[in-house]
Amino acid sequence: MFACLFGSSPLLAELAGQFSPLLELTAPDTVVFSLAGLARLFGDTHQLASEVSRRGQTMGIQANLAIARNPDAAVVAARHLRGVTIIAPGDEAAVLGRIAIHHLPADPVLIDTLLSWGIRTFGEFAALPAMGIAERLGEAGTRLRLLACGQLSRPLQVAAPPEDYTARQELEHPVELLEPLLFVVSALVRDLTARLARQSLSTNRITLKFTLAKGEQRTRSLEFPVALRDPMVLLKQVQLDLEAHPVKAVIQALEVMLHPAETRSRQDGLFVPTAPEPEKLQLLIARLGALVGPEQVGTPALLDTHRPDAYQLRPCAFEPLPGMVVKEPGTLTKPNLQLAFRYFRPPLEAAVELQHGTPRRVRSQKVAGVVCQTAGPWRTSGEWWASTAWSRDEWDIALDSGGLYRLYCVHAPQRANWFLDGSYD
Amino acid sequence: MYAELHARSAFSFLEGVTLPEDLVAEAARLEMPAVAMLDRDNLSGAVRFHKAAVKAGLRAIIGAEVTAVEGFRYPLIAETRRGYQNLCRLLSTIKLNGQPGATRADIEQHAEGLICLTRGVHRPLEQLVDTFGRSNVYVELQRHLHREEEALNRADVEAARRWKLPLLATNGINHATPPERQLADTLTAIRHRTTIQRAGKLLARNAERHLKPAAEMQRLFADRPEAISNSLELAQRVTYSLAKLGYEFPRYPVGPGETMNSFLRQRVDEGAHDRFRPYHERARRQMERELALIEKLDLAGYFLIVWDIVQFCRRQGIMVQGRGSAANSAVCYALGITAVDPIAMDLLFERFLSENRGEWPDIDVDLPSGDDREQVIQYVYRRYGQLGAAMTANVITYQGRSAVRDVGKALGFNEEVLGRLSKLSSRGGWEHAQETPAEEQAGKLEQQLRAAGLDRQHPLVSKLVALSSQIQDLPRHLGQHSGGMVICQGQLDAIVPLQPATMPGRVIVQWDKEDCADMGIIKVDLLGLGMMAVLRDSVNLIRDHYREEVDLAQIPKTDPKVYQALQQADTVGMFQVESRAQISFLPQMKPQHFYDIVVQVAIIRPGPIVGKMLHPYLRRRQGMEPATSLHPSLDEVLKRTLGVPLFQEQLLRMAMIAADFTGSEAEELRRAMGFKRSQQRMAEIDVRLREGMTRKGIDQAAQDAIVLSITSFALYGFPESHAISFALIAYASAYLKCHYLAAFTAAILNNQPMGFYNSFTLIKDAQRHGLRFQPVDVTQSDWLCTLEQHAGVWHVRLGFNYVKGFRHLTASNITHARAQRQFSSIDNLIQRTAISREELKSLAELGALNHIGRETPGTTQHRRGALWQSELALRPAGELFEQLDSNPQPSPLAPMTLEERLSSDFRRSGLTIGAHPMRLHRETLAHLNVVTAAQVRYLPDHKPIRVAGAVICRQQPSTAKGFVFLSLEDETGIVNVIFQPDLYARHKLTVLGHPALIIDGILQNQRGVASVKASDVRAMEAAPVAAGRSHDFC
Repeated sequence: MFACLFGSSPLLAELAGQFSPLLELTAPDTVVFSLAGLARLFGDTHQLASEVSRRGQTMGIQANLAIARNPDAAVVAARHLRGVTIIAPGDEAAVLGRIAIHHLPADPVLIDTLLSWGIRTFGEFAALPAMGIAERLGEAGTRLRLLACGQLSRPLQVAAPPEDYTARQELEHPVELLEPLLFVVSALVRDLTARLARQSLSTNRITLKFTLAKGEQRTRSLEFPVALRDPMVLLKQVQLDLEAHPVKAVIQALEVMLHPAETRSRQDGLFVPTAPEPEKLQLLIARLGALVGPEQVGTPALLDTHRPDAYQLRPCAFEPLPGMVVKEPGTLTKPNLQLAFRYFRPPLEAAVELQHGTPRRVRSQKVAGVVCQTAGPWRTSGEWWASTAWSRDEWDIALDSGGLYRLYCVHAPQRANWFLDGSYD
Repeated sequence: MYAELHARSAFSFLEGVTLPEDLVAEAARLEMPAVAMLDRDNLSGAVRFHKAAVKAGLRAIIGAEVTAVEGFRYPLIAETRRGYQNLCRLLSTIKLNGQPGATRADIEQHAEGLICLTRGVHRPLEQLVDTFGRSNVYVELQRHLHREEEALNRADVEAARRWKLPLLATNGINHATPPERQLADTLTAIRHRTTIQRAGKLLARNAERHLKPAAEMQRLFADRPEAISNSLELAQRVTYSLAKLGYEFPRYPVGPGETMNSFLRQRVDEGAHDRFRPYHERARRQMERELALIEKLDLAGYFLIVWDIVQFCRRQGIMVQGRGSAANSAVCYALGITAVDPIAMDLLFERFLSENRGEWPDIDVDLPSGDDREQVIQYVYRRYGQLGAAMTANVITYQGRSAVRDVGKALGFNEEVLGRLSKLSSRGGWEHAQETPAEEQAGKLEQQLRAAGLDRQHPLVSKLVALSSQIQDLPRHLGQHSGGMVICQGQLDAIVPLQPATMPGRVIVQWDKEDCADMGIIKVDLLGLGMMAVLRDSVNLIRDHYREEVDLAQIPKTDPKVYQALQQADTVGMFQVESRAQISFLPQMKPQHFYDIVVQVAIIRPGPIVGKMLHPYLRRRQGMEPATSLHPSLDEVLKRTLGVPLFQEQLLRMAMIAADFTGSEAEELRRAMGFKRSQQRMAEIDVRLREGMTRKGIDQAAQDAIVLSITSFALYGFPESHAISFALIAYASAYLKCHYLAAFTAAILNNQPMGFYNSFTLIKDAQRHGLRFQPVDVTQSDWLCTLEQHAGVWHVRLGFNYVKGFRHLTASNITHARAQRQFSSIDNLIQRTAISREELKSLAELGALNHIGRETPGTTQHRRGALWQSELALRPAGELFEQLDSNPQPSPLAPMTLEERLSSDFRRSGLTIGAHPMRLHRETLAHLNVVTAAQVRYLPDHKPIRVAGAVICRQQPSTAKGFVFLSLEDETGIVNVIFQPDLYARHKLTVLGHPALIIDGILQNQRGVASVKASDVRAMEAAPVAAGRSHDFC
């Protein structure tokens, strides 16, 4: 005999596990377990059902329970009949017969065919001749008819539960300083990475949960662009993060959780230039982030806009370097001779004197002089649909002192703001 | 001075922003002497551009940007007529050959008379000089305040110097004014199917691509003054304008010694003797008057061309009838183009043709929709050559819902919000676009946005409102007009570019029908009318089955059955008199003569309703008020309509009699009052009318009434001739329905969709009139519905065309195979017809397989039995067994219940010939005190009642001030329900969202018209199976 629990509680498998190790996780909301040998412990099926219900109630589980001679009959009954259903051997067809046909786990086309035949329940389906069904609906139809009769038999597909890479340590003596804390974290991380290694896995996220005095909880989580398994690298990253974000409280317990990920595998080409190891690069970025702030570190990318110098920092991605392309000597193009431009970071605020709308004199902290030649204005504007609308006029100016600069004016609602953007070399 | 010679208008679909008229207006404001409009690969906006320029007094230079196969564009200007013709042919070649662009050979072949502008280094100048000639290539300089562009300009200046080519300053206009840049960016996003937030560098760098005044252009090109002066030189050099189009009226071939005029006279004379019996003096005088004018205006060819088309239809047995104002012409009547005797009906010729109008008269021809109409169109193509005739285009513009949706999408609003926005009003647009006071508009707009969950103050929302208003009326793409054909003597592709229509075998011109009319191009509207096809099919069915010949031209116009049906509003399926509004009016009107039908057709229109003509006419007809005219001098004109002006001809005659207008002046007045009214012209006409009436001694009060009547009615009035033409068809349809119900019903079912009601309602109505139907049967049915005689009574057999998803090919296979021998079994059917699984299931569920193999004892079965057998027959048995005849066991399945059969009928064919679904609920409804539609008309006025039924029509006419009208159908008939605006607003979701309703209300039963004024509504809980498609808000 088999029992099936159907409900939304995450504790269904735990409840089933209290009765039998032979359990099948049929679906996230469905667990089937074998009742073989339980009669001596719990009595007949009714007593067993009472016990399952009692324990379920204790655990706060709300679920349907069905007991039947085969797993599928139990599953169907648990899913579609409320409360506790005990199907005595031989009564399957009668009990399941009132279930609506659209609950049959079948292709919608087949359900549609049955509905067009006027079949509304499992019972009506079961009453059709087996040969007639086999001729019309084939093997799938025959199997479904057996299911509707409650006569489909199969072994349980017992599955091992997924491994959890979490370790917890209650501290006998609460710690406050970073060094003893890292000592404890180190032991836990080494243990967890060893377990990951046994499954050929790595991690792309580490989460630390600290239990503080008065039961308060605090959590830090670090994500890695590439999956790691080296405990030293992991620990160093944790150290840098905790230095940047100290807990500043007495820690009474600690939990470390590693999120498993596929181990990275890559084979570089023989002629591909060697790049730093991703682990080291990641460590470097973590160090830089700790120094200047994580939002200040990343890969710059130009934005698709006419707004000059618009870019954003994107998280560092450790893409493999592209293979080197060696150009044939004949295909090398002539160098494009252009003036190099040197940006002032940030742009220099400037006071500008205009004559007929054209700059005549410029004064700023570093550069000042009379404008002897101009080109412009070069006009751009955009984002007119948003509050970030912008408009800018640029001039290339030559000063009497000899420098060649780019000057621009941003049109603010009240007045124009002038800046020196940089110089041409 | 400066002339902009490179401007794109909104006809560079989704690339330019400004309508040609606005472009011209801005250029005129900037005092430019000329503008060149170069749209991308088309000349669709050229006529509007030309007309606006003529009006504004500046020169419109015609050209286009022609895309090359390599991807770049040749900006080309038509210098001479030859150049214009070459440009049209070049564009036609690209479009008709389906090329992505022009090849170098295409350009070389059509270069004569064209001036090419060039910019950038895409095209080697050497090649352009070789193709167009050194004097016809200008190197274009544009300055949009863009640093990189300046480098390009320097290279161009250097190249021009090297090749000794002139420089030309242009601004590459995309929008007339700087603020329009926002709309230009929006269109860019729409064109690239992205949002403005994601469009990045696809958007404009700045707002500089607008028309700039000469001073600004001179400042921009201060270093190259010759580039500015060259723009004026080039503008002066271009001599071509659309005024020299070179369109030649097609000549009708006549024999030696004959002219088109003499030939037309002969044809008219022959026809007149046949039509007018006798050919009386009044008819002769009218004929002579019309022919003299036709000769004077040199229009004989036009009449002969239409006559030729009508002759073709007669030879082919295609039903044809001219509609519209052509029916005012005795010549058209004599030529057989129209069916109305204008002399007997005293119709006004000037409404059709007047000396001063300056455009061709409009002859519209109604043909049966479908194959017959296509046959006539193909005849015109054959007669005048593929390049001598084409359909007119229909410019699809942004309106209401499409404007909000496309702009919303481009601004990045998600689908859910767009869906809510689209539903803001019944027409989908912003209410403030309507002609309502500003404060009211603002309030409504706020309400609508709030209803859609949007904050009016949000920058993006305010942009949405502004841009979707700006985009209204901007062209989106070119479509095909429903029936307009233009014909040319010789090569039409040298007059206007041609392009293929979406329908294979069709070619369209790039101008719409107004453009063609404005350019004096002859046009014939070949319109498809579903009811003409019904009449044709009915006559054929009557001939084939009843063995009777019905000549629709000769049927008596005094048939009592017809008038009885009309008086009782028993008109479902009849042309023009079947709508809900017509049905509620007919019992009051009680038509007794043919002319009453003419009035009936014309009076249920916005014109008479808005002009408040409907109720005065009704009261006079019912003898409740005297039939006096606005002035005694108008008695004669208005007597036929009891003193109430209903027709455009009356309006013209009123002006002629009361104010001494000539026929031409009166027609001019009507046109001035048309949709595009000019305040100035209205004022001028008002003065002239009043002057004329004062001379005639008409007092001030009568003058006011006459002017008001003319001005308020001219916009919507219906030509009497048109109403008569339609009334003829309406009468014919009524006659056939009353006398040959089976044939008429089969014909109308075979020509769906058309008319006001769906097939289910038509069938139920026919059944209430005693007609019997036979279901689809694989052993009997054809593709179309057919007639069968059972015990001397005609029944309609439903055809396979009423089986959803059934292929015509399968139906042909079935009828061919059946002609050899009847099907012995379902297996046999499958083997011989290649019927698909789904088709077989449809037939089984509809009961169409029930009689298969009925010769074999014990094989007649029910629908489920057929399904059981079909499933076995469809399952491949494998090579070993497939040749074996199966020996089917009896079906274990229970037969379908009545409700199941109805459900299957609706699912598989959208209708049932069985019981009305409402009948299944009658017992329950009776317990709820619901009365049937048939009972309603016998209940007293003002009685509170409850009705229920499937909704077959929901309407909210623009003239009804927010009232909503519903038609509910049950097994006994149709009942009309009226919702007041506030009740509708409260129950909008219920009314719109449910297929069947129970409605409480007060019965209004007056003068034979019964309707329910709703006070409460609820959905039917056990709604009957969907009773077909409702006719909603059309």
